[in-house]
Amino acid sequence: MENYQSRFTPLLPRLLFCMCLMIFTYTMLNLWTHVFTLFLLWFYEKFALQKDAYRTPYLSQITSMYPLFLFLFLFYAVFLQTGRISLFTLQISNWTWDVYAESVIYAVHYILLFVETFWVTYLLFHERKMETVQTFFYGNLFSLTLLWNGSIQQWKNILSCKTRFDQALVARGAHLKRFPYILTFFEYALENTLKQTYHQIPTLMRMWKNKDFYTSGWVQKIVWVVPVLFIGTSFLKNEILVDQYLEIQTMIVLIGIAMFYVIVNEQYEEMSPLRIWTWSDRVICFVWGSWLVVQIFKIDDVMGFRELKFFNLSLWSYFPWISVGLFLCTILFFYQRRP
Amino acid sequence: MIECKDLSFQYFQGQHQVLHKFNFVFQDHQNYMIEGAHGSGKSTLLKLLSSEKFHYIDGKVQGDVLHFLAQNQIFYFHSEESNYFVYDLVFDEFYYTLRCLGYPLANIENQTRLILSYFQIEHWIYRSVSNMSRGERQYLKLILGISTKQYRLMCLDEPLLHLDPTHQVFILQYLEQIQRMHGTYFIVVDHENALWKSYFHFQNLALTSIIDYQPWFILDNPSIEPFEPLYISYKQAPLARIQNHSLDLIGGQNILLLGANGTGKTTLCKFMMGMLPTSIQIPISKNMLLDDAPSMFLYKNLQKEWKDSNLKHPYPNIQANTLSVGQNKIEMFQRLLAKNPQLLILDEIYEGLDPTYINFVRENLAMYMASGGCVIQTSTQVREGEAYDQVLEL
Repeated sequence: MENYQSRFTPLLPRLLFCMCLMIFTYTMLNLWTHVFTLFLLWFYEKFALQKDAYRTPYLSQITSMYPLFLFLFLFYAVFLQTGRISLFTLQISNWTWDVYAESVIYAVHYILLFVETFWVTYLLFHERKMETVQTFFYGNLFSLTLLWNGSIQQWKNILSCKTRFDQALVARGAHLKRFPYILTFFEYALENTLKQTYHQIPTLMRMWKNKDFYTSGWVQKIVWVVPVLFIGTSFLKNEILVDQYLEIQTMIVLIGIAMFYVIVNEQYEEMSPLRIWTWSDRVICFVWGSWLVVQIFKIDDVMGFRELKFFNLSLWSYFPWISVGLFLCTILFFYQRRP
Repeated sequence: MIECKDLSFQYFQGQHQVLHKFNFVFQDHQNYMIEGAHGSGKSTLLKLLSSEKFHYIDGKVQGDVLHFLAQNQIFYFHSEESNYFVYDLVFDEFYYTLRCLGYPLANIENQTRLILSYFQIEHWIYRSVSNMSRGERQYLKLILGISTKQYRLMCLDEPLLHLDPTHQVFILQYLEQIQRMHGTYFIVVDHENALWKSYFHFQNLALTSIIDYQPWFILDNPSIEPFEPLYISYKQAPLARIQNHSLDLIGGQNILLLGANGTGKTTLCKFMMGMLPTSIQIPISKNMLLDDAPSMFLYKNLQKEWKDSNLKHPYPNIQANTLSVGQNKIEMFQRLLAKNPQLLILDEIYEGLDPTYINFVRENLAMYMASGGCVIQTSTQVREGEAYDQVLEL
């Protein structure tokens, strides 16, 4: 297995995992977190992702989505009247509309959130190293397979479906305007992703029946706690309408990260040989870990958490703790050496 | 081995039964070749034969398929399967497959190397599947299926479709060997009948077509805008090995890009079409028939596909997903031809087509080129009866 060892670059999956964790940090922190996150994503795409002539750089893709960002900006900054400090007032004849400073900040925050989420998805799509991690589960973990395929794997499917759609348009010499493009793509994606899922059914059925390949009952039970915790908390807080969207979005990401961790822990370890913990890995983990811990303990909600005001807290106060927990588990996992 | 009793099948979205009251007994120790025109139900029958529970098909089954051998003794392969890999690395794929089959951990690498060296692809062991061409993926997927486990029956649907001649020979030699050693028998659907029959003795099973789809579009004095000869350099192409090549695009010419699997034929075509970030811009109208023609259909309904033309489709109610692979290819070929592009790129157009369809394509292309259109074809081999003005060997 000598050759097999040498092909691993342990830095890559770890960087990817850290990037996923970033999502938690920017749900609660300031503009500098966004800047730092964007820098890391850019750095990853520029220097860690495989150079590929078939890949269009993310930044040139995202700029074509300006109508979405414009809509988000108008939606959050103008339509949702959140905040107290009035920045300026729109006036058209007798109709006036206040735009608050908090709303603008909220809108910018959301737009950056979208940019970062799409960027992570883009990197996941093009990150071939991720594919060396098992994306199917066996035996008792079958339900997790469905969850994985419903979250991150589905994103990858949709992105590859869009690539095929764009190629078909070019090959046929067809030009669609923006609105017909969206409608036609929706029809095409529905047909093709369903077809793809349908083709996976025999494989999934076979795996479901295969009970003797790396199974573990407890992981499955633990992972189910994650969505239950989040849905339960949102109901307890009685603020469903306010936070709903962000919660669902973050929940999907959280499930994806939990899946990733479980895959790595349960199957990647079994499938791969001994890893070498390089100095660069240690430096990255130390710097990133320290930064994360410092940021977390600067937040007011976490202070409240330490004073056991459990149910009065904002929902976001759970994220840092889960982030820290996952992060420590990952470090411990990667640090272990197989006998 | 398998008996079909009054077997009828209809796709959920289809208008007619693909199979109607089909009766046949597949005997032990006998190879079968299923023959028939496109849309006669060859692939559908093979799917029904290979799976007791009909997992693979979305349609209504009537009658019986009685299996007298265990399900895990039957192997099924379809050329479309080559799109579905669990892992990205070749070694990982073998590791997973062999591990599931109970191979001891210590033996897996040696076993993988042994298999790959038999098929002359030992250097692929750490290759990424996503960087492979369609033909290479199909070769790998086929090897994974046939070489890791012994089966009593293999149902093979166009297994040689995208393979180059060298790979085809390796596969056929291996199948011949396992038939001799393990008594494995085959039920095959393939339009390359002659090649198969030089290795095996087959009993033929002919199916008649019930679906009434036929190629229908005849190119009639098209108005193709003439263009000045263009010199195309591949210096900016993403594959280093094709950067020294160049082409002259001249109206009325038939150009062939010839090469084995993985030599960059499709990449070259996409480069000319402007599908890659580093593509060149060719200032003439151009269309391309992708090797995966079904992925080019934007709508399910055929009439909708033609909505921007003045023609009325003779089969307006047929759903694209109920057509066979060959019918899909010919339908999309007609769609592209009707647009009268100055350049028509055809990626492996003749692969998987029966002689009637091949003649139909040739007649239309002759008319198209006579009207000033330029054709670029890709292929793994030079076909008999085809004349080319330029051949670019990759």
